[in-house]
Amino acid sequence: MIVMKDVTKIYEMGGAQVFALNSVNLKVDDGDFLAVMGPSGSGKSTLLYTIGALLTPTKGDVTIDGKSIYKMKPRQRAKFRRENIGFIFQTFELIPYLTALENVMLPLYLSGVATTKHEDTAEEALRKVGLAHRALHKPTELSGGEQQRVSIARGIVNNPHILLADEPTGNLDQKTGNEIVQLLHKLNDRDGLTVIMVTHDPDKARLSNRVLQIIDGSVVEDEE
Amino acid sequence: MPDGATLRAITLVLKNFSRRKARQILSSIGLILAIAVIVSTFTVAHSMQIQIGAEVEKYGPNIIVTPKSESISVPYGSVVVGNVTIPESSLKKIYTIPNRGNLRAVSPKIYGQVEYENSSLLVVGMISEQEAELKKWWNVEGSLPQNDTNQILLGSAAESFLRLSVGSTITINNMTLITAGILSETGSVDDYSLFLPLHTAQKLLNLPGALSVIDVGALCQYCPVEVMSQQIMDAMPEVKATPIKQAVETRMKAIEQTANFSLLLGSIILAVGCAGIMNTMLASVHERMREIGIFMSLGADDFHLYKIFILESLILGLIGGLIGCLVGLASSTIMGHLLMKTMINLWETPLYIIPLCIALSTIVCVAASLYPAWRASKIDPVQALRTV
Repeated sequence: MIVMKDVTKIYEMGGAQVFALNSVNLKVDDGDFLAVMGPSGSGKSTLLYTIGALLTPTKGDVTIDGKSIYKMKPRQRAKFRRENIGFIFQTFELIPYLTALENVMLPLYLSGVATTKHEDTAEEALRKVGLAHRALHKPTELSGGEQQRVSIARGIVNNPHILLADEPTGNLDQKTGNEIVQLLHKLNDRDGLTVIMVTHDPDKARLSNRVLQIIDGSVVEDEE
Repeated sequence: MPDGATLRAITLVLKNFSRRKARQILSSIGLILAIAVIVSTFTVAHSMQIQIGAEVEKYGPNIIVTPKSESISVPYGSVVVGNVTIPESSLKKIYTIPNRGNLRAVSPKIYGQVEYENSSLLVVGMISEQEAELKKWWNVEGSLPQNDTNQILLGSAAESFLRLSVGSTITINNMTLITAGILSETGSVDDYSLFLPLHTAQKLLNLPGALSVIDVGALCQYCPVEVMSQQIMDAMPEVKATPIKQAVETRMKAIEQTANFSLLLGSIILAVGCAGIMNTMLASVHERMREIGIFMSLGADDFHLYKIFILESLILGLIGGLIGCLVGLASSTIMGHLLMKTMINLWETPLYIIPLCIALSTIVCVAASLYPAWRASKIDPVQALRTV
């Protein structure tokens, strides 16, 4: 379970304080599919990165499975992230000089998984997203949808129980975007993965079992 | 799917290298140049040391071995020789000293005076090639006396006095001697001497198997002549070995100055090279900020980033060092020609310079990468992911 307790993130901008998150309280149960919506600059991505152990809040506490992630030392937090959290980004963020297979292997390398297991494990993750046949292609040789599938495979290869998706369909056409969201739901249903997805698209958000509306850093609506 | 595909830090580094070929070549140029200059400076300096050493060594022996004697009778140059002689049979003991590898020339001699037409002549018995090795300034018209013959070499003053020319003969103590060569003026006691083969002189002086003095030329770049002198006295208790420090000290000073100059020049170049590498790597960290953010989002910690950046610099250092060595060795021949008007013999260059320079290049590269790697590890991943 993810618990955010009175989480505030303040940025200093030209001497003024900007509240990216303002006293956010949130609980996300294991296996939930949560969609986060809101206008640009409302704090959606900040919320996601704060849950993802990437952005230390100015105030408040974030616990995952009872562990206060920002009380951990940086290396412990990085290890926690490798083992428990997968990220998917709007612009895919694949490493351009690595093949799809190697991109998926990256979290395995970082986790210190035995190299003998790299190929089989990464191949399995690519198979789950239906892209095993494109394993040896570099990102520039793949379509946007294919790149996002590789990104998802990379996000799930270490078997995390949380997948954080920052506008995963933002750079895709409607059809491909729908396919990606369907894939995320499949992973949520089949593997019990907790998915938190930032999106601007109400249709895609509607497919989730919970939708969070966030404006000016505050949660204004939490609909199940 | 390829069999056994894996991902290691080295894969990441090499693939990144192949993507940024131009940058890697450019950043390596500074390093290659720095190492090349160090290697070529060292090679030329080493060659200079050998040549300076050879020049200085022309100034004669640096250890003089005389019998332990209380009485003094025959002066020869700056050396005084007693009546007591060294048995020739003990000469071979010199070659048993621990520093025998440093013996450049060992020239045993017998001195004596003979009467000729109411005058006294100074006779020096020697082994021609050993004496010539010590006295490289000798300029001989004709040839040196061959061992165990009746040939003689006349000092310039002796030649004027005796009115002899190459090929003419002289009879002393019923022994007929043939003039093989005449020595040009040296400004030393050699000008007044008659040089004979050692055994011929021993017969003439009726001192078979006896030596008055042994002049030793030692190559002492890495050994003090005092130690060698003591070693000779330990091996031959019947002699006194006197080191002549001046020549060695002059040579050592020349070598030291050359080496210090090389070290200073090399250090400056290395510092510049190091700054260049650090600058390139800092630029690389800046360029790869988004990539670093992705790595962090996937769970990379400072250790992973240090490993990648240090491995990059390690490979850069190894390759740069190796190429720098080769370029340096090649350019030293050109530098040698321009600076010293002489050919540099690369085979004389100590082999250790290659691993040493590669190690130096690698250490400098790794040291230069530490700050950029630290900067990379301190990047805010969220900020990095938002970098366009």
